[in-house]
Parts: sequence; C-alpha cells; structure tokens
Amino acid sequence: MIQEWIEIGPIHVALPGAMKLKLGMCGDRIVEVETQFGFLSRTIEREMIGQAYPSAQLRFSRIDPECALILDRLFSEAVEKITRTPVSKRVTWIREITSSLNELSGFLKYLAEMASRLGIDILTHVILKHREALLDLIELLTGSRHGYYYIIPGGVRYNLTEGFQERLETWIKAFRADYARIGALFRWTHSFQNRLQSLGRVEDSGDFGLISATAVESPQSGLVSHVESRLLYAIEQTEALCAELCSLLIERPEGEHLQKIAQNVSKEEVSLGIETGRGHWSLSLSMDKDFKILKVVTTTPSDHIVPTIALALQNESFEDVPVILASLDFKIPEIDR
Amino acid sequence: MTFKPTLKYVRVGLGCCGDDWLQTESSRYDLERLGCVRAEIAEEANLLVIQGTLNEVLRREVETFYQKMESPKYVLAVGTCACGGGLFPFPKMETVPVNIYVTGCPPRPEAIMNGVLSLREAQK
Repeated sequence: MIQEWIEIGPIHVALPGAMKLKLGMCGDRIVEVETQFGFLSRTIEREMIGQAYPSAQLRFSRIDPECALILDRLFSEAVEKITRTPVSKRVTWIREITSSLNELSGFLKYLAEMASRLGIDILTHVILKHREALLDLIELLTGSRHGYYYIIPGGVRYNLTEGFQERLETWIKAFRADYARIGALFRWTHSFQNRLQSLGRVEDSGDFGLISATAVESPQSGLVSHVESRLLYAIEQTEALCAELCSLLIERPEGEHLQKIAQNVSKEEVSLGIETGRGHWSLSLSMDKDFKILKVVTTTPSDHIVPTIALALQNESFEDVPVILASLDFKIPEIDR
Repeated sequence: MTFKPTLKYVRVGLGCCGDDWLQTESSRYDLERLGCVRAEIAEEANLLVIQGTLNEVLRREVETFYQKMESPKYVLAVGTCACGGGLFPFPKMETVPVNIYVTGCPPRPEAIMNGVLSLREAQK
C-alpha cells in the first residue's frame, strides 16, 4: 500500500542525469516507480535527416559523448557500406584499438561513479587517476579527449603517432599493477559484503535483452542481475579489454590510414550493429545520391536497460536508490536522443 | 594555494562537459582545493554549473532551481552547448544570469579550473 509519493529530480545529485523519478513509498520501502525522461531531448536523429553525412556524423557522436569513438566507427562503417568503400587492414586495426580505449574509459568512469556512490573515495581517485592518463592517450592520438570526429568514413584522420604504442603499453602495465587492488578495495568494504548481493535484483533479465553486461546466470531462475554482479562484471571487463589491447598491439598491419569515399551511393538501407560491454548498438542508415541522410534509426544499450529501472528499485530501501541507479549504467543522452 | 570552501555547486544538464567535470574533481586537478565543493540540495548551493544542452523543459526547471539557491548565487556555463547552443537550439534564459562562460567542446579541466578561479576573483 502506498503511503506517500516522493518526487526526485530533474536536477538532483542522486540521479545519473536530468530525469524525474517518482517513487510510491510504504515506510522506507519503494512500492511503485515511475520514470520521466525528455529533459535533454535533443532530437538528434531528426536533425540528421537532410544533412550531408559529415555534419550528420558530428551530431551522431553526441548521442552518447562517452562512447564517441565507437559511435563514429559505427557511422563510418555504415557510410562505407552504402558507398562500397573498402578500407585497409591498418584502418580496421586502429579503429579496434580506439574502440577498446573508448570502452575502457567508459568502464573506468562507471567504476569511479560506483565507488563514489558507495562512499569509497580513495578508490574513486585511484580509478580517475588511471582514467585521466587514458584520456591523455586518446587526446594524443585523436586530438581531443573524447576523440570526436577522429574516425571518419574512409579511414581515420591521423595515423598512429610516434611512441603511442609504447605509451599505451606503459599505461596497461600501470593499470594492471593496480587492477587487483581496485577489485580488492571494492570487495573489502562493509557495504559490498553485506548490502550489494541482493540489492537491485532484476529477475529474468535476459527477457529484457540484457546481455552478460548486466546479468549473471543463476541456477534457480535463469538470468538474474543485481548490483554486485553488475559491478564485478565491469571490473572484469577492464582486465579483459587490457588483454584485448595487448593482443591487438602485437599485430602491426601496414597500409593507408585514409582514402577517398567512392562516389557510387547505394539506395539500399544499411543496418549495422556493434557489440560493446554495455550492450548492443545498432544503426540503420540510408542516403540519397547527394550523400544526404534520408533515414536514420538507432538503438542503444539504454533502450534495454530503461524498462528494468522499476524492477530493480521495487521493494528496495530509499537510501539505496543512488547505488542501484548508478549500477544499471544507463545514459540519459542515449535515451533523450 | 588553498581557499575556504565557499562555492557549493550543483550541476545540471549533461554532455561531455560532465565527463570532464568529473575528471576535474579527481586527484590530478583537485577542484576542492579551489574551495569548490559539491552541494546536495538547491538550498545549500550557491553555484549553479550548467553543462551541455538545455531544452525548454529543462530551462524552466533550472530557473525554479536557481530561485531556491542561497544568495549570493553564481552561475557557471560550461561547454559550447551551455554557452551558446553549439550544435543544438538553445533557449534564452532571462532569469538566470551567467557569471562566467567556459567554452570548449568539451573544455579541458584546466579551462574549468580557470573558470572557477575567475569566479573566485569576481567574488572578492
């Protein structure tokens, strides 16, 4: 039975962005949840229609600035497919490296925010220190900390700079030295051991399309996701991405880093997807013969996560709301696009 | 160089500037040593940091939020979107006067710190 309604937002420190959360409370337990988005609504997809692909790409990478490199890659690959422009092995290699760096930076931000919500300030600073060095590396390669417009149709804007690989290897070494400490600092905290295991549970999370990024298998009832599983997955994912980067750095394919786009535009609609640690991104794109966008439809990882917010908050205590919301890792720009 | 914590800020909006603000809070830049600390509610805050895009709906919320803040109150616009719209349409804010503009897409942490320092100068 709902005793009172509490409204939080759209501007509040406990929320991951500009959104409104309406909670039906019975004592300090949450009984009903209503969410409202649209406070940032930027109509990015609609604005892209009728624009030439370079200016459309500028908007597309703003759907989620945190994964700008991944979005630029998705968009560029779609344009290359429409225009049937082949790219060299070197371009693919550089794109894979930059996508992994971008994803790694996203996971480190997630961990820093989780540490902050759990009140482990020292861990927040340790993680942000590594992330700052990683952003420096991205800036060294792309010219900006978020890498906007580095990956473009036909290739990448600059080739790998001298000494980049060595610096990246040094960063990986430094991060791996701290990796065990980061995992241990999370696990040793009182809140981690006593609170998180059953917090923010989403039963049958596979039905929502949540992939392993936010769900773990349970022998009793299919896929179950909770705060601890989501957090542990993110920690493991950082190590997995480091290993992936190490194996990528061994190969050094040669070739051009940029080439001209072919002039023959296919009228067909192209659909492409990219799998990231957070979930699945997909893009359907079509262009006319003047390289102007006719149609663009995007699905983001947050599309799958948003329906689970109410389930994760159900029957939980009011004080746990910030931790649960942060652990779900949904991004407001992806929702308000 | 240390200051008394007299700037209590609340952030609004979202974008890549929010990401760089987080890094500015980290140990390398340490925003807190400039006397700029996070506030939990509007009534406690005296600095409103606007980042990223504002639409008409959020503009109204920001104006209401600004009215609740304690005086003297300051506003810092961070990023090209907050300064003048950037790629997106930008509503005119008549009741929220911006004290300092920090441009860039996104601005570097050094630029954000420079904005905070300029605000401290304006406070004197």
